[in-house]
Amino acid sequence: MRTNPLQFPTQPCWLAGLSALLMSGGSMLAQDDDEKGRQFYAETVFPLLETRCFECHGGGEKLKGHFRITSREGLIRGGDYGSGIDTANPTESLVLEMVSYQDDEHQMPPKEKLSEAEIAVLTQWVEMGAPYDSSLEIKGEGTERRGFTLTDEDRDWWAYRALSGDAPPQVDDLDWSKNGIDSFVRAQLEREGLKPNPQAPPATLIRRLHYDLTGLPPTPAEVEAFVGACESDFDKAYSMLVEDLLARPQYGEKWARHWLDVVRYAESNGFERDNSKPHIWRYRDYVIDAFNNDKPYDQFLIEQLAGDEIAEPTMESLVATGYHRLMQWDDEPADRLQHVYDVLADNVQITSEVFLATSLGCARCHDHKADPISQKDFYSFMSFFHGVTHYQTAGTLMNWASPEEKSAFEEERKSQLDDLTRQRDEIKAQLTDYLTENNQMGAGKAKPVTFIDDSRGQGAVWAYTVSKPSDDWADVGYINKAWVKAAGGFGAGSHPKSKIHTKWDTKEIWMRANFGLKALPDSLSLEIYHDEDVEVYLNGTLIHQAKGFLKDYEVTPLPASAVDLLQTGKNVIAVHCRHGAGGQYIDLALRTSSAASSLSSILSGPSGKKIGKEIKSKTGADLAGAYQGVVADIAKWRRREQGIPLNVVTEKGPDPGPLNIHLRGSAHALGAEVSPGFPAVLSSADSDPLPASPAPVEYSGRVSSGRRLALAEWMVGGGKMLTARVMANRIWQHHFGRGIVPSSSDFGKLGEKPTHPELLDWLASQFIESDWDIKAMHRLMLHSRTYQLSSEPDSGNIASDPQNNNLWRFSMRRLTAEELRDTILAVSGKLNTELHGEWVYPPLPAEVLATASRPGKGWPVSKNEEDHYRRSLYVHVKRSLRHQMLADFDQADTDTACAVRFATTVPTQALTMLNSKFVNDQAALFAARMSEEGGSVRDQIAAGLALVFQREPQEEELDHLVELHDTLQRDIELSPEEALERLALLALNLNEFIYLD
Amino acid sequence: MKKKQKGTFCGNVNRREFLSTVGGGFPAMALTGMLGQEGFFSQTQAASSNPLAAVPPMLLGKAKSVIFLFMYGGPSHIDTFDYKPAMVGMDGKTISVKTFGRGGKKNEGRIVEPKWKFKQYGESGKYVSDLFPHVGSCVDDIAFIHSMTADSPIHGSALLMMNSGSLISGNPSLGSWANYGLGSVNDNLPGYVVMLDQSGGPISGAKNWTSGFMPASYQGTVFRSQGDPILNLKHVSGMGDGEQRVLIDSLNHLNSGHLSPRYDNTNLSARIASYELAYRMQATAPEAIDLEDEPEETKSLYGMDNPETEDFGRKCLLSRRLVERGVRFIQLYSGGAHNDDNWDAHGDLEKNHNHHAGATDKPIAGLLKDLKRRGMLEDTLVVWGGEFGRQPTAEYAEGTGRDHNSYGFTMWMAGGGVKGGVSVGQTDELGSMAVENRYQVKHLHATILSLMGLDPNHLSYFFGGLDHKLVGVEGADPIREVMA
Repeated sequence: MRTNPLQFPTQPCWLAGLSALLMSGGSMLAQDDDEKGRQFYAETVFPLLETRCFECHGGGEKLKGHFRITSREGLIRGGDYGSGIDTANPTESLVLEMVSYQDDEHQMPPKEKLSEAEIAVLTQWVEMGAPYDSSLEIKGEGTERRGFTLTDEDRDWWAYRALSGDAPPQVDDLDWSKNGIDSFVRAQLEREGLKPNPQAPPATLIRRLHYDLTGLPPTPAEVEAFVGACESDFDKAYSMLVEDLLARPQYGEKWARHWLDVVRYAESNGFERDNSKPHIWRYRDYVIDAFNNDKPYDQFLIEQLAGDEIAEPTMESLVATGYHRLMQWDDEPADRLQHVYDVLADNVQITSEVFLATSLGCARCHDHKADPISQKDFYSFMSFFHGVTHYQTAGTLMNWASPEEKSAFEEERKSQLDDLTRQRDEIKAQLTDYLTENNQMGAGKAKPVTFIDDSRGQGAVWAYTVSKPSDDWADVGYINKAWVKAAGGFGAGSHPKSKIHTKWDTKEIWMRANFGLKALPDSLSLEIYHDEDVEVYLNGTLIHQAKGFLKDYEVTPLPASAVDLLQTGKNVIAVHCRHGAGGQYIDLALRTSSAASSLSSILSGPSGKKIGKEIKSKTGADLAGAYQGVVADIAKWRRREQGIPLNVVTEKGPDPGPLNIHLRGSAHALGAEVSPGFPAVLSSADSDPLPASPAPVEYSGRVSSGRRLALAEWMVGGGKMLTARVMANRIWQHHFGRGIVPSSSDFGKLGEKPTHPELLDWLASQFIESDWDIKAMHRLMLHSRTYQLSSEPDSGNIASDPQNNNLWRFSMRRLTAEELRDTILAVSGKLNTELHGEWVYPPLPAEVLATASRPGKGWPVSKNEEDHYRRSLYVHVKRSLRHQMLADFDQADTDTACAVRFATTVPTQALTMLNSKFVNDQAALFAARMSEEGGSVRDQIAAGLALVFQREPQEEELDHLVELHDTLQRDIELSPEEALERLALLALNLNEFIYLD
Repeated sequence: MKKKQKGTFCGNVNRREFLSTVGGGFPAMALTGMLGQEGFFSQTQAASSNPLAAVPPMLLGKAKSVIFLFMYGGPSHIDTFDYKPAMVGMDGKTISVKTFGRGGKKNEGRIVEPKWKFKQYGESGKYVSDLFPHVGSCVDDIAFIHSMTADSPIHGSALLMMNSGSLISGNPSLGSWANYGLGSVNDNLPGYVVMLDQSGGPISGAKNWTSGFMPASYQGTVFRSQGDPILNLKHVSGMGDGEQRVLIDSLNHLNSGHLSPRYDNTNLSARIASYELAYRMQATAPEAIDLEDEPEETKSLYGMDNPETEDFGRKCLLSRRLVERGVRFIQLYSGGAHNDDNWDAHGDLEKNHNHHAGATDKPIAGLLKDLKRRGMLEDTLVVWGGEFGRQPTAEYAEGTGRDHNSYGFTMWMAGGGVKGGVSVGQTDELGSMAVENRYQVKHLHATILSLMGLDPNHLSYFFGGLDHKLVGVEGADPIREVMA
């Protein structure tokens, strides 16, 4: 049956009764008699509800949205969105709103809108007060929404209790225990009837420690020295090694990686444009430094959550707030309001998992199904972040500099610009003379295509506002309906060569204009006249920025990266101009780059190079080069800002406004209002969150709500028992390969329980007592005998504890993706251990680049070859284009917090290790390094194996490889050099290379 | 190829002996699990650590494999399979209609009437436009869903939605769920294969075939139709088979020495086995894309004899070959990169759709016919569609370009337990939105999983405190009207 929206569908038979009813007028209904109501329900409403609503709302097993429409009680009690009926204003009833399909979000029944006639029936029924026929009612039992009440049992969950304070137990074998850890572990082993493994040999321990603390292998010399030192005094040698490694900068790099996994660190936004997050790498460097400088964990936590709200923010503490900018962000979401809260909810989820190992995220739509977390807890927690401005490419940036530095810089800028402009005008005059004489002024001429015209020509209609819009004003999807539309050429006062069409006499103006493209041009240039500072965005990305004012339109050819921003269909140009003193003016045009009047476009046009050479040979001076150089310098000085650009958190002001519970997680369905509060189970005597009392904070002219600081302070104050347990467990996890609580980001009921609960509490207490000293925790754990046990199997222990839950041995582990790549580079001798800095782009296989929607774009291979050999930590983390080898070896996904990495074994890893260009190139370098060792082939192989295994090779292994070297030459006819390369490749593929004991 | 290896001591260790010599009972058990998917160990049911080992389905399902023909960019439903006779003659008229696309929300627009004629095909008499005459001849095997809706009319998020059920990235894609639920029956090929357009990947690239929070073993593997099908399948500078065998034998020897005192570590034995699998994959994958032995008649059925259809035809034929070799989930993109390189017809609708339909119509029909005559269509599910459809009205003052439309669009399925010759759901008379039997992407996903024998409301993966499902926390029922 086809549905014509203009016609009623053929009426089902049950509607006939209604027609009769309606036609007979209101008098019958006005009697409002119980029997009439019952009859109306039974004959007219029930068949409709039964066919269209019962399936999901109480007629069968389902009770979607906790809403039962099969009984009057269910209708009145309502579901997640509230009561189904509003008895005071029946026409406002939720059921009618749902069936009206007025709101895109809430449409019932979802499969197909009811017909007008059906809606009329329901309206009638609701207006009658929604009578039911009790014999047809289906009543539910206990499936409806439950209230949220915390019990003592909830509060007594092991993770939420106060720390136990138990001292390490006494154990029989006093010599065995090196510290408290060992006493707890040994006591449990004794209880379980397990015998601990012996201590691992020094060569194993140094390898274990090096990877654990730096992610890199020890050199053969380091191994030799340590093994030697252990012979005289093991404890001393061991302590010295631990201190040496903790003091190396590579320690911070290794442990930063663990942290970056849990905060899902990434350097691009994802989605269609997948633009990079400018300067966010400073956050990564902040984390490295925090570990290297042994920043106390409470301070580390506070700085990330609220480094801008603390008493005296530093550049470091501001960089730390980049924590709030790491998530994916869609600059063109289908539902903007919902996406704002998607981003906030992501932050709530991550923050609760990272610091509290609590999955608050599950309570976004409903009370948590397993843990004692209510939806109110979730939104009260979200309130702490409610003031945070929505992510936006430029709106989250700030420059770090003192006021003195800034004013000195402005003076410098002015003098530089004066000087450069003078130089430019001189060269320009000479060039113009030359070109005019030689009749080449038209050399760049091809008719330019104008997308946005300035007021000298056709002009353009802009939407503009002079009051500060929200931070996403430059985004493609921003809705500027409230802005005023007016012709371009905005300004006041007198400006030579300007045409003011619309008066603008305030400090700031924001403008947007759209243009459609059916085909993409291959060049773009901006002609702009501004007074004063201006920023121009194309499709949400900053393409031009200049300080100060101009006296005429200036042509700026835009780089290819700007042309790449264009797309067919709608494009958006957005402009922000800021004004200081004197008259203001802003106007611009955007066209393809071929304006004949522009020297720049002639010189950068198709015959530009030829003309440049001609001029040079005829005049003896490289006028063209000089001109382009000086023009570039001018642009650079205009653009430059004093200070160091940072990607940080910013807030809207002292009060972010009200936040309501979102029914079923929808930002369009508001429930009760909430205020900042800590999860009830951790803080409160009743079932409601403990209210926080944040105080607004002002820093450097920016005001924020102080809410994040209140949250951070609670985490290391009232909530510290959980905070300390969580971090102590994470540190343990990375030393021992598995947390005492294996699900290290979920301490709730769906997570795993601690294998050694008393030990975890003791460690948490030690952590707090040490003033949250992370390195002290490392020392404690590394100096335990438990850490130093060998990993070898023991058939008796395996039978009763195959998972090593009781820690009778050290668990073997595979190198992580980063350790693997870094070690290959270390072995080949190529590893560049430079610390810090912008991300790098090592080459990727063409096949991988081809998977991008702009193949080859977005991954500009680093020009400096040395950068290709930086540690993997510095490889750009682009959401839509992952580094294949790192991804294949289980590098953390960046869209969700990764608390525990997988360690998969699949054939494609073997293909990478055997066949890829990267591994083979490094194998060749490794082979060359072996032959540099000189001596016999056997000696060379021995030196190579020592690098790979970090131990002395055995004779049998050498016999085998020497024989292989011969075989490859004899049977496969490889040259000795090639054969050695194959041996090097083989060595990089060995299990012993990739697994640690 | 270099000289064949002679009998060195390591060359003598073949796989069988190797298995018998390593370690004690423990690793041998794991190895049989790893290597036992085919060949002489297949009867041994070892405790396998292979995440991709085949798993029996949860329910009775007909589809063993899925070929998802992804029409990236959003084909216009009213110009292809959703017949709107009422629009004929209305070209250029301005009407009030609610639309939402890249250009934002609008309440009126200029009608661009369907630009191709429709004809009836098959016993079902289904109307199909002249863009798809060959697919038209298959309509009696196809179930059309005309009332699809999606949550976003923007490519980036809509692609994620169609591929992973969510507008936000981080979730596993459909192919990952299929492999998680059913495993793979062929260890020598990936269980989840993605073939991209020559012009590039879709927006968000690998996010569209990610395994999200599941292990990387469930992610899609990009497969190329020519040259080396899989990244790093061949040695970068060429290494003969014999030479590689020598190296792997030597690797096995040294690794088994390492394993011996660590006999209980199944990860070590799994890694040893993975080299054997990789070795075999190097032979199997090129064989899968080698069309040498395919008869000319078959190639021309897929349109491989015509430059316009050669590329997509080759990929369709490859898809069939991969299904024959047990690959669980294949996604084949028509269109890549941006703008008119895919179905995103903002400018000239006719030029765009003539190009993309012209390149895919015959190959798709060839695939359906070939699967059918081989008896493979019964257990191979073919899905066709994009991330959304297109609007009935023009995007600009001039021209035929249509903006995106997620309020209503068409997807179709064939084979694998799908009822042929049926059409489900309706859009309004302009095709502007679904009005009857409206379905969301999760219902499509639920249908695909159900046809594979997986219960969409119970197939879950625990992560981040939640049992995640492809169809979301609320669940979704399959579209039973299309299921035989």
